[in-house]
Amino acid sequence: MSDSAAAGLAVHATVTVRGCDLHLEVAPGRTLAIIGPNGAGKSTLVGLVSGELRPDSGHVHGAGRPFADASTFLPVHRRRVGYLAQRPLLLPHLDVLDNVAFGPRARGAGRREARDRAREELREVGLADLARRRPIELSGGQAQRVALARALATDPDIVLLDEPMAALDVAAAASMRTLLARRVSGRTTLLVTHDALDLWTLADDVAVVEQGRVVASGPRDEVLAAPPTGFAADLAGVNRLLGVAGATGVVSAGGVEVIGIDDPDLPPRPGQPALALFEPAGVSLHLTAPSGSPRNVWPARVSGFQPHGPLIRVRVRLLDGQQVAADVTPRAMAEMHLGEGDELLAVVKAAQVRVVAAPAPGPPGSG
Amino acid sequence: MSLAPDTAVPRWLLVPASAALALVAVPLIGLMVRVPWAQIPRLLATPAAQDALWLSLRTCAASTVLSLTLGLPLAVVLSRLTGHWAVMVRTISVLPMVLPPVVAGLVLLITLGRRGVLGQYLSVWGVDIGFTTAAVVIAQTFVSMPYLVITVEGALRSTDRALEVVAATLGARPTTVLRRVTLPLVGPAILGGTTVAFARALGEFGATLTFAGSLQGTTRTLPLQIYLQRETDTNQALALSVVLIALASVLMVAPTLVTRRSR
Amino acid sequence: MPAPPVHPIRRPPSVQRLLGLLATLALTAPVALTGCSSQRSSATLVVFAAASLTQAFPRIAQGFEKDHPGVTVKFSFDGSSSLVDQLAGGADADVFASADQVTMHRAVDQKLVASAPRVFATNVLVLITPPDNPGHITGLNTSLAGKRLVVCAPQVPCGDATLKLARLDGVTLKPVSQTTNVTDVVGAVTTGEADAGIVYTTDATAAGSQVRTIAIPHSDQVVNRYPIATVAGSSHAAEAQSFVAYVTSASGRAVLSSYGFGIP
Repeated sequence: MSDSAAAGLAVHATVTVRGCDLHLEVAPGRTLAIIGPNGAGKSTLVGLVSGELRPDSGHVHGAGRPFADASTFLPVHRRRVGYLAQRPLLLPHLDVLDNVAFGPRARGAGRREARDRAREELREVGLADLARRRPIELSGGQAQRVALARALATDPDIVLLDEPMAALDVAAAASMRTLLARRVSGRTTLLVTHDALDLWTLADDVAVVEQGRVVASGPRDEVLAAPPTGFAADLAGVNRLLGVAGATGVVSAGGVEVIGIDDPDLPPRPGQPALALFEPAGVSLHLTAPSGSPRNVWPARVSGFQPHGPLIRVRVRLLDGQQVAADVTPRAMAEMHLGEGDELLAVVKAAQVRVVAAPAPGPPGSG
Repeated sequence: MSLAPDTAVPRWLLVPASAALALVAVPLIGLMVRVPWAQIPRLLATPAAQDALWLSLRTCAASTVLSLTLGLPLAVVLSRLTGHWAVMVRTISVLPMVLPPVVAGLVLLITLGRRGVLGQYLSVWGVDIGFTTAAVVIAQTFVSMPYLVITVEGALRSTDRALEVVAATLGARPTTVLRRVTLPLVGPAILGGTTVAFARALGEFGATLTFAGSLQGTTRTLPLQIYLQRETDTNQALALSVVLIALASVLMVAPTLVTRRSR
Repeated sequence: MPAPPVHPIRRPPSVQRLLGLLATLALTAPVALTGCSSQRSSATLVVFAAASLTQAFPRIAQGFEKDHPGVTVKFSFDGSSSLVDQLAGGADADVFASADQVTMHRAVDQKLVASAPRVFATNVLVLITPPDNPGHITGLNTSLAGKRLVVCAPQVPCGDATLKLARLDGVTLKPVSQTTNVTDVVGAVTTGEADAGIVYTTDATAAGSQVRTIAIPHSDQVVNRYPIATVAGSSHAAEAQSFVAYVTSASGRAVLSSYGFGIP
């Protein structure tokens, strides 16, 4: 692989019918996680890279080769993109070994050579002893590991992971995640995920897509430090209120003044967009104004619940519609008789609110 | 034979079900009762019967190969078509299934016959299809290929296209995908469709009679021989019928046995 | 045969009844269809006639019905052989007209007919070609060599006659197709698939201008004779007798000869 930036993956392409205009780059050897809500353009991106979709304009380059531009369109089988989807998609008529040997065979290797390579890849994923099984005889986790072995047996230039853990149970997902971390590190990888854990364990960089655009991208820690969208904040596990910076530590957001502490690394500038960030665990819910002097007390309305470990994550909507999540104990919730639509007060200590400059909107591809 | 214990069938269903079975089985039993079993070896030993049997096997083998080589590609293409074109092409492809055999024969005759739409040009080049064994094969293919096409196309439509995409990402060219993924996935349907097509070709009568004529050893297949034999020797006709039914039954059962074994 | 798939479950008696009914229906259906004539207020005569009489016989029946008010004639046309099979199977008919004597003898042998058969019409073979005669056929001779000739199969009466006639004329026929019925021979010639065919005069007459007819030497020595007889057990024996008489009368003969039949 060449050391130029072009040796990674670059997508600058539009797909009109899907309303997508996507710009992003993956540096060689790095893993870029794509996050965004359903319909944001993630599968369009996957299609553009795999070769299932032809861009209407723009170009896609991978490993220094044009995948698609105004004059070329490289079909799927010539892209050298290792693809791992939610489902293992093992060929049911072949055994495990021949599934993994399929790629090398298709690329011209002899049967023996392909099978040797397949055995090697199966050893890497710890399934050498299942070589002669039929796909139907494997557990979901085993099948997905075979699929990974199969994708990597072709020495792909680009690895495309399309929510590879989404269909697995927690235990299988965990071991798959560990395996992926080991096997894809150092390869140019595009990872589509819905799972915060994937971000922290697999991603070097993160790109956030929303409504067919890449709204932010960069090193993982930087992007998640100031989540550009509510979705990204959700994945990062923080509450995010967008407003306008006022005096030091103050953001007008949610129809109220949010009092917090300015982040010295990303200091907000007065009059400019700013984000107030705080953990759901730091939010408490009250039916009446609490005693003492918490700095932030916001009227809100309950919009939904979901289990969150031993706690319950309660989503409330502020006056301007921005959402805040609060983690409360089931007992506290029962005592308050909370139901959807109930009015209450969300309370956060100022010390727990971090105020940062909002990332600039627009395509960040240039850096 | 028994009903699976976990399938609850309303009891009244057994009445029409038995009637349906009886409708098909009673005539077969009638045949079995009426067939002069002791004379069968002698009846089948006549040159006319042997010629008919041998001709039937040869032409059916040829038409089945033709159905496979032409019908499989058609099924694959059909399964990828969408919209109005798909409806139109599919309707045309399976039309011979619903044509009365004699109509099928007439259609072939006015197309490929000596004065037919295409046949008149073939005739100029010295190619006369009518009254030849080739005409039998064409007639059989015409009526039997749709069974293969519709069976395989249905199976292709219900296969997981994502498997083909994943094979392509592994570097498989479209031809490799077709050969190593698409067709193996519908293997049982190909086997089933092929045997049904063969069986249908074996039973083909009307189109052959109309288009190919009837000459011992050249165009007089088993069904035509049965039809002719009925005029003079009902016993021989029955004996040949038994052979035809036995062949067809073996063909219908074979794929199930093969697929069961491979599981 | 395997048992029906109802084995482990007690079969309700209604199933057996239904099966019985079904079997009865299957066995009696052919009789029931032709046998509706057995309940008649005025007489309805059922005539089983060879397929080649399809056009001539209804015309004869018109005259017969005019002469015999109250009597209606219904026909069942089929190959003579099939008709005998149906009679043997118990089909309800009053008159049987066969296209050949061999088949009539089968009926006589099985005691299916009541009266002695009488020959009422004859038919001879002719050679037909498409109107433009593309094979340049001149007759039953060497002009047929290498040409597409279609004839009846020797197993059926017209084919048997064809074989005999060819022998009389010292010609060996090399047909490209030997059909089970004469209609297929006519069809092959009218569509131009065949260069020539050997059929009965009546078929050539029916085909009209679609074919050119060439007489065959010695055809008068291989005459196909149509016998007619009343059917045994007919419940209208008298009417059946008078129908046979009418067919063989001058009026019947006139109609028959207009369709190309010869008169004995």
